[in-house]
Amino acid sequence: MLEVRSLKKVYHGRMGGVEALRGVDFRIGQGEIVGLFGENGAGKTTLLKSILGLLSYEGEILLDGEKIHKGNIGRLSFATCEHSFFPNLTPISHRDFYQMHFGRFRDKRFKALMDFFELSTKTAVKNFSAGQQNQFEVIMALCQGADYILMNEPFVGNDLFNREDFYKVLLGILEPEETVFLSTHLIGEVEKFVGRGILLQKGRVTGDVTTLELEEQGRALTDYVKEVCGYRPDRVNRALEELTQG
Amino acid sequence: MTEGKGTIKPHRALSIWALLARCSIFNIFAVFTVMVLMETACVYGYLEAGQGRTPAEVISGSRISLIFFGALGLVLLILARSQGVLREKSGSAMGRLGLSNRRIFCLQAVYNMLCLWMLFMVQIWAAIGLVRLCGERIGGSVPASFGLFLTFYQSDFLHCLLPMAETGKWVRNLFLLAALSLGAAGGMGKRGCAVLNLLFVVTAVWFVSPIGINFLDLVCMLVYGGAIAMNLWRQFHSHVQ
Repeated sequence: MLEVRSLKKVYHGRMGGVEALRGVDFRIGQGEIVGLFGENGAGKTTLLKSILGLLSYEGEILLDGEKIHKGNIGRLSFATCEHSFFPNLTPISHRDFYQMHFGRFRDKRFKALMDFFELSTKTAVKNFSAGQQNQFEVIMALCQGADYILMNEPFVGNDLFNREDFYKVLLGILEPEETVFLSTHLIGEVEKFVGRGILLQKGRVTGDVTTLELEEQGRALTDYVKEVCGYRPDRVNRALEELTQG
Repeated sequence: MTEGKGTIKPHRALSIWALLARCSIFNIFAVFTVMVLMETACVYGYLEAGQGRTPAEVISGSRISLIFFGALGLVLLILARSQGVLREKSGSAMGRLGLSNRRIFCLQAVYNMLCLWMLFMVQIWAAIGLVRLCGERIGGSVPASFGLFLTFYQSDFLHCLLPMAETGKWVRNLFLLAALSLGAAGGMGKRGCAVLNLLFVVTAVWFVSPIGINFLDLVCMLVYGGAIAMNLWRQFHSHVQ
């Protein structure tokens, strides 16, 4: 179980501190597929980076009751739109490198996914197109052998068909003990893929719902998010009216 | 996936070194090649112009030391840049390895030291070749091997590269290599960049000094020692490990 307790993060700058996370609490059980939603600046990336230990923070992040340290951080993998692969290495070199550092690297899955997405294994990753680099980033996160796969907008720049393929592949290959925590703005697309949604607003968790609950209420995840965020559909029309009349 | 407190599995260290090498070694070899070619051309041109009565004069007059410092600057730039890119672009992947940031920093510093040591070695062997070339072209009464030995004492630049029996200069050079290696491992951050620039300028201006430990050598050692202490302090007092 991944447990986040009273997580706070303040970015200190010359103009004072900015609170990015203001006491975030939630738990994710093993095997869950959870979506992390929220507007830009809500704190999604900060939350994921804090979990990975890339940022200092206040509060507690526990992995099966243990603090995350160098001994268990290999149980987490990360795919990010900012990319974390080694640009000069080929996919084969990546595989070799990961195999040396992560004892549970999924070689069979790596081969299958590289074949499926028709990625060259002998070309340096820096020479891949942006879409291919995203694909490769996700492939490495899936093949690391981690129990918790964290993703931060991994499909930015990929076309719709490609993203659809990915969702299907993900659902097909994930094993029951593998957990996915996916931060994305594409709520409508991942609606069928995630089992639960956590909504982050101004550094706080303002919504936490399972898709089963929403189904029972006959609501879509997108509508739930809009409702909790207080999104007013007439806002644009009003603004346009004001602009055109003024 | 865990490492013992004081141990690091050799294949993991090797994999980090292989990763660092993949990001920089070809560029560094290219710099070595260009350096040797340029130095040979300079010495050859100097000899062709009929200048220089001894190999030491040719080495000093052809200003190969400037080419060496240019190469040193380029190697430092390649190392610092490639490791900075690795930290920025692949930071989250490096962070998930079972190795702490400190260990990765130490592995980077060792790799950098090896590269800088190679630069010194290439320069020394190139100098030996060039001195021999000079000896053949100029001629003289002393035997070739003794002439070579003599030139490394007569030329301040060559003597500083290979200080023979002078322990003080060896210590200074060791400090220099350690300071530059740690500085380059620190990446290209604002402060790290400023320190690396300072170290390079100090080296370029004061590396060539007369035989014997003098005031400038002591100043250099102080600057190098300060930079080493600062880099280690920064790494070992970092909040996020």
